[in-house]
Amino acid sequence: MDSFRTLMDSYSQRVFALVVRIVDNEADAEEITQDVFLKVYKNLARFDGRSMFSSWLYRIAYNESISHTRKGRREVAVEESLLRAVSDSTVDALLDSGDARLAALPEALDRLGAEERAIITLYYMEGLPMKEVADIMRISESNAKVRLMRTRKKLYVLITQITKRYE
Amino acid sequence: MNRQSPLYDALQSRGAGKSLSPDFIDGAMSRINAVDRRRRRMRLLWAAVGLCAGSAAVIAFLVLCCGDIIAGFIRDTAESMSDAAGAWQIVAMMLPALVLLLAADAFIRRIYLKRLSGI
Repeated sequence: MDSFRTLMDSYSQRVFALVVRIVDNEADAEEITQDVFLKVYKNLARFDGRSMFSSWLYRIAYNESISHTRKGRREVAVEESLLRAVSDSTVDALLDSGDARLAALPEALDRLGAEERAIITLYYMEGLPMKEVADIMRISESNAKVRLMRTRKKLYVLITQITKRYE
Repeated sequence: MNRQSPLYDALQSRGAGKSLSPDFIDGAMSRINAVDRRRRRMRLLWAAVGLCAGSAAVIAFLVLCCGDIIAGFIRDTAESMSDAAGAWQIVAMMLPALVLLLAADAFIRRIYLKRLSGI
Protein backbone atom coordinates (compact mmCIF):
# COMPACT_ATOMS: atom_id res chain seq x y z
CA MET A 1 0.00 0.00 0.00
CA ASP A 2 2.90 2.33 0.78
CA SER A 3 4.44 1.67 -2.61
CA PHE A 4 1.17 2.64 -4.29
CA ARG A 5 1.17 5.90 -2.32
CA THR A 6 4.69 6.57 -3.62
CA LEU A 7 3.55 5.83 -7.16
CA MET A 8 0.65 8.24 -6.74
CA ASP A 9 3.00 10.83 -5.32
CA SER A 10 5.16 10.69 -8.42
CA TYR A 11 2.45 10.59 -11.07
CA SER A 12 -0.65 12.36 -9.71
CA GLN A 13 0.35 15.87 -10.78
CA ARG A 14 1.22 14.72 -14.30
CA VAL A 15 -2.07 12.87 -14.67
CA PHE A 16 -3.96 15.86 -13.29
CA ALA A 17 -2.14 18.21 -15.70
CA LEU A 18 -3.34 16.11 -18.64
CA VAL A 19 -6.89 15.63 -17.37
CA VAL A 20 -7.47 19.28 -16.44
CA ARG A 21 -6.51 20.35 -19.95
CA ILE A 22 -8.96 17.91 -21.47
CA VAL A 23 -11.96 18.48 -19.18
CA ASP A 24 -11.17 22.12 -18.36
CA ASN A 25 -12.61 21.96 -14.84
CA GLU A 26 -10.43 21.71 -11.76
CA ALA A 27 -12.91 19.88 -9.51
CA ASP A 28 -13.87 17.37 -12.21
CA ALA A 29 -10.22 16.85 -13.08
CA GLU A 30 -9.39 16.02 -9.47
CA GLU A 31 -12.23 13.52 -9.27
CA ILE A 32 -11.20 11.93 -12.57
CA THR A 33 -7.58 11.74 -11.37
CA GLN A 34 -8.80 9.82 -8.31
CA ASP A 35 -10.81 7.49 -10.55
CA VAL A 36 -7.72 6.95 -12.68
CA PHE A 37 -5.63 5.81 -9.71
CA LEU A 38 -8.45 3.62 -8.44
CA LYS A 39 -8.54 1.93 -11.85
CA VAL A 40 -4.75 1.63 -11.85
CA TYR A 41 -4.88 -0.05 -8.43
CA LYS A 42 -7.57 -2.50 -9.54
CA ASN A 43 -5.80 -3.38 -12.81
CA LEU A 44 -2.16 -3.18 -11.81
CA ALA A 45 -1.80 -6.94 -12.19
CA ARG A 46 -2.93 -6.64 -15.81
CA PHE A 47 -0.13 -4.25 -16.76
CA ASP A 48 2.03 -6.46 -18.95
CA GLY A 49 4.98 -4.10 -19.37
CA ARG A 50 4.74 -4.11 -23.17
CA SER A 51 4.30 -0.34 -23.17
CA MET A 52 5.79 2.19 -20.79
CA PHE A 53 4.02 2.53 -17.46
CA SER A 54 3.43 6.24 -18.09
CA SER A 55 1.76 5.44 -21.44
CA TRP A 56 -0.51 2.93 -19.76
CA LEU A 57 -1.36 5.46 -17.06
CA TYR A 58 -2.02 8.19 -19.64
CA ARG A 59 -4.25 5.81 -21.59
CA ILE A 60 -6.42 5.26 -18.52
CA ALA A 61 -6.46 9.02 -17.84
CA TYR A 62 -7.36 9.70 -21.48
CA ASN A 63 -10.21 7.15 -21.47
CA GLU A 64 -11.62 8.43 -18.18
CA SER A 65 -11.49 12.04 -19.35
CA ILE A 66 -13.14 11.26 -22.67
CA SER A 67 -15.94 9.22 -21.10
CA HIS A 68 -16.50 12.01 -18.56
CA THR A 69 -16.71 14.73 -21.20
CA ARG A 70 -19.06 12.66 -23.34
CA LYS A 71 -21.69 13.15 -20.63
CA GLY A 72 -22.13 16.78 -21.59
CA ARG A 73 -19.68 19.10 -23.18
CA ARG A 74 -20.08 21.74 -25.81
CA GLU A 75 -18.06 21.06 -28.93
CA VAL A 76 -18.20 23.47 -31.79
CA ALA A 77 -18.57 21.64 -35.08
CA VAL A 78 -16.75 23.03 -38.08
CA GLU A 79 -17.99 22.36 -41.58
CA GLU A 80 -15.99 19.75 -43.45
CA SER A 81 -15.72 22.01 -46.51
CA LEU A 82 -14.04 24.71 -44.42
CA LEU A 83 -11.44 22.24 -43.17
CA ARG A 84 -10.79 20.96 -46.69
CA ALA A 85 -10.32 24.48 -48.02
CA VAL A 86 -7.39 25.11 -45.66
CA SER A 87 -3.96 23.98 -46.76
CA ASP A 88 -1.37 22.54 -44.38
CA SER A 89 1.08 25.35 -45.12
CA THR A 90 -1.51 28.04 -44.22
CA VAL A 91 -2.13 26.31 -40.89
CA ASP A 92 1.61 26.02 -40.20
CA ALA A 93 2.11 29.68 -41.07
CA LEU A 94 -0.40 30.72 -38.42
CA LEU A 95 0.07 28.18 -35.65
CA ASP A 96 3.85 28.05 -35.70
CA SER A 97 4.37 31.81 -35.87
CA GLY A 98 3.94 34.82 -33.61
CA ASP A 99 0.86 36.03 -35.51
CA ALA A 100 -1.33 38.51 -33.60
CA ARG A 101 -4.38 36.37 -34.37
CA LEU A 102 -3.00 33.79 -31.95
CA ALA A 103 -4.53 35.86 -29.16
CA ALA A 104 -7.70 33.97 -30.04
CA LEU A 105 -5.99 30.62 -29.49
CA PRO A 106 -7.21 30.05 -25.90
CA GLU A 107 -10.83 30.60 -26.98
CA ALA A 108 -10.33 28.32 -29.97
CA LEU A 109 -8.91 25.60 -27.70
CA ASP A 110 -12.02 25.96 -25.56
CA ARG A 111 -14.20 25.13 -28.55
CA LEU A 112 -12.39 21.92 -29.45
CA GLY A 113 -13.82 18.53 -28.58
CA ALA A 114 -12.27 16.51 -25.76
CA GLU A 115 -10.46 14.11 -28.10
CA GLU A 116 -9.04 16.98 -30.09
CA ARG A 117 -7.85 18.74 -26.94
CA ALA A 118 -6.36 15.46 -25.76
CA ILE A 119 -4.27 14.91 -28.89
CA ILE A 120 -3.07 18.51 -28.84
CA THR A 121 -2.17 18.26 -25.14
CA LEU A 122 -0.38 14.92 -25.48
CA TYR A 123 1.66 16.10 -28.42
CA TYR A 124 2.39 19.73 -27.62
CA MET A 125 2.11 19.92 -23.85
CA GLU A 126 3.46 16.52 -22.81
CA GLY A 127 5.85 16.49 -25.74
CA LEU A 128 5.19 12.83 -26.50
CA PRO A 129 6.26 11.32 -29.81
CA MET A 130 3.47 10.57 -32.27
CA LYS A 131 3.89 6.81 -31.80
CA GLU A 132 3.23 7.10 -28.08
CA VAL A 133 0.27 9.44 -28.63
CA ALA A 134 -1.19 6.85 -30.99
CA ASP A 135 -0.54 4.11 -28.43
CA ILE A 136 -2.36 6.06 -25.71
CA MET A 137 -5.33 6.76 -27.96
CA ARG A 138 -5.29 3.18 -29.28
CA ILE A 139 -5.17 4.24 -32.89
CA SER A 140 -2.55 3.78 -35.59
CA GLU A 141 0.30 6.26 -35.87
CA SER A 142 -0.88 7.44 -39.30
CA ASN A 143 -4.39 7.96 -37.96
CA ALA A 144 -2.98 9.98 -35.06
CA LYS A 145 -1.07 12.17 -37.52
CA VAL A 146 -4.22 12.75 -39.57
CA ARG A 147 -6.18 13.62 -36.42
CA LEU A 148 -3.51 16.06 -35.26
CA MET A 149 -3.43 17.76 -38.66
CA ARG A 150 -7.22 17.94 -38.69
CA THR A 151 -7.28 19.48 -35.22
CA ARG A 152 -4.71 22.06 -36.27
CA LYS A 153 -6.90 22.92 -39.26
CA LYS A 154 -9.93 23.22 -37.02
CA LEU A 155 -7.98 25.54 -34.73
CA TYR A 156 -7.08 27.65 -37.74
CA VAL A 157 -10.72 27.92 -38.82
CA LEU A 158 -11.87 28.71 -35.27
CA ILE A 159 -9.16 31.36 -34.80
CA THR A 160 -10.18 32.97 -38.10
CA GLN A 161 -13.86 32.96 -37.08
CA ILE A 162 -13.13 34.41 -33.62
CA THR A 163 -10.84 37.09 -35.03
CA LYS A 164 -13.45 38.11 -37.61
CA ARG A 165 -16.06 38.41 -34.89
CA TYR A 166 -13.93 40.87 -32.95
CA GLU A 167 -13.02 42.98 -36.00
CA MET B 1 10.07 21.20 -31.23
CA ASN B 2 6.68 20.95 -29.56
CA ARG B 3 7.70 23.27 -26.74
CA GLN B 4 8.54 26.09 -29.13
CA SER B 5 5.03 26.10 -30.56
CA PRO B 6 2.54 28.79 -29.48
CA LEU B 7 0.22 25.87 -28.80
CA TYR B 8 2.49 24.77 -25.95
CA ASP B 9 2.25 28.23 -24.36
CA ALA B 10 -1.53 28.33 -24.79
CA LEU B 11 -1.92 24.91 -23.20
CA GLN B 12 0.51 25.80 -20.44
CA SER B 13 -1.46 28.90 -19.46
CA ARG B 14 -4.70 26.92 -19.73
CA GLY B 15 -3.68 24.75 -16.79
CA ALA B 16 -1.73 27.43 -14.94
CA GLY B 17 -2.69 27.84 -11.30
CA LYS B 18 -4.68 24.61 -11.29
CA SER B 19 -3.32 21.94 -9.03
CA LEU B 20 -4.45 19.03 -6.92
CA SER B 21 -5.67 19.77 -3.42
CA PRO B 22 -3.14 18.97 -0.65
CA ASP B 23 -5.27 16.13 0.73
CA PHE B 24 -5.70 14.51 -2.70
CA ILE B 25 -3.50 11.50 -1.96
CA ASP B 26 -5.17 10.85 1.42
CA GLY B 27 -8.60 11.00 -0.22
CA ALA B 28 -7.56 8.68 -3.02
CA MET B 29 -5.90 6.27 -0.58
CA SER B 30 -9.03 6.04 1.57
CA ARG B 31 -11.08 5.17 -1.54
CA ILE B 32 -8.48 2.58 -2.52
CA ASN B 33 -8.51 1.13 1.01
CA ALA B 34 -12.31 0.85 0.90
CA VAL B 35 -12.11 -1.00 -2.43
CA ASP B 36 -9.41 -3.25 -1.01
CA ARG B 37 -11.48 -4.10 2.06
CA ARG B 38 -14.49 -4.92 -0.11
CA ARG B 39 -12.31 -7.13 -2.30
CA ARG B 40 -11.00 -9.02 0.74
CA ARG B 41 -14.52 -9.46 2.11
CA MET B 42 -15.65 -10.88 -1.21
CA ARG B 43 -12.66 -13.21 -1.31
CA LEU B 44 -13.46 -14.41 2.23
CA LEU B 45 -17.10 -14.92 1.26
CA TRP B 46 -16.13 -16.97 -1.78
CA ALA B 47 -13.66 -18.96 0.30
CA ALA B 48 -16.48 -19.78 2.76
CA VAL B 49 -18.83 -20.70 -0.09
CA GLY B 50 -16.12 -22.92 -1.57
CA LEU B 51 -15.47 -24.57 1.78
CA CYS B 52 -19.20 -25.27 2.28
CA ALA B 53 -19.58 -26.65 -1.23
CA GLY B 54 -16.45 -28.81 -0.80
CA SER B 55 -17.62 -30.15 2.58
CA ALA B 56 -21.08 -30.90 1.19
CA ALA B 57 -19.52 -32.77 -1.73
CA VAL B 58 -17.25 -34.83 0.56
CA ILE B 59 -20.12 -35.69 2.93
CA ALA B 60 -22.39 -36.60 0.03
CA PHE B 61 -19.65 -38.81 -1.43
CA LEU B 62 -19.03 -40.54 1.92
CA VAL B 63 -22.73 -41.12 2.57
CA LEU B 64 -23.52 -42.32 -0.94
CA CYS B 65 -20.43 -44.42 -1.67
CA CYS B 66 -19.05 -45.45 1.71
CA GLY B 67 -22.26 -45.56 3.79
CA ASP B 68 -21.97 -49.30 4.48
CA ILE B 69 -18.32 -49.04 5.55
CA ILE B 70 -19.09 -46.16 7.94
CA ALA B 71 -22.10 -47.98 9.40
CA GLY B 72 -19.93 -51.10 9.92
CA PHE B 73 -17.21 -49.04 11.58
CA ILE B 74 -19.72 -47.42 13.97
CA ARG B 75 -21.18 -50.86 14.85
CA ASP B 76 -17.68 -52.34 15.49
CA THR B 77 -16.70 -49.32 17.60
CA ALA B 78 -19.84 -49.63 19.70
CA GLU B 79 -19.08 -53.33 20.28
CA SER B 80 -15.46 -52.55 21.25
CA MET B 81 -16.61 -49.83 23.65
CA SER B 82 -18.51 -52.45 25.67
CA ASP B 83 -15.31 -53.49 27.51
CA ALA B 84 -12.87 -51.01 29.15
CA ALA B 85 -9.74 -52.15 27.30
CA GLY B 86 -11.42 -51.69 23.95
CA ALA B 87 -12.59 -48.22 24.97
CA TRP B 88 -9.02 -47.14 25.82
CA GLN B 89 -7.84 -48.52 22.51
CA ILE B 90 -10.38 -46.35 20.72
CA VAL B 91 -9.29 -43.29 22.72
CA ALA B 92 -5.64 -43.99 21.88
CA MET B 93 -6.56 -44.17 18.21
CA MET B 94 -8.79 -41.10 18.18
CA LEU B 95 -6.45 -38.80 20.12
CA PRO B 96 -3.60 -38.59 17.55
CA ALA B 97 -6.21 -38.27 14.79
CA LEU B 98 -7.77 -35.33 16.65
CA VAL B 99 -4.38 -33.66 17.19
CA LEU B 100 -3.59 -34.13 13.51
CA LEU B 101 -6.90 -32.58 12.46
CA LEU B 102 -6.47 -29.59 14.79
CA ALA B 103 -2.93 -29.00 13.51
CA ALA B 104 -4.16 -29.11 9.91
CA ASP B 105 -6.94 -26.69 10.80
CA ALA B 106 -4.50 -24.23 12.41
CA PHE B 107 -2.16 -24.50 9.43
CA ILE B 108 -4.92 -23.84 6.88
CA ARG B 109 -6.27 -20.93 8.91
CA ARG B 110 -2.82 -19.36 9.07
CA ILE B 111 -2.37 -19.63 5.30
CA TYR B 112 -5.81 -18.10 4.65
CA LEU B 113 -5.24 -15.31 7.14
CA LYS B 114 -1.92 -14.49 5.48
CA ARG B 115 -3.50 -14.45 2.07
CA LEU B 116 -6.47 -12.38 3.12
CA SER B 117 -4.38 -9.81 4.92
CA GLY B 118 -2.24 -9.50 1.79
CA ILE B 119 1.08 -10.34 3.48
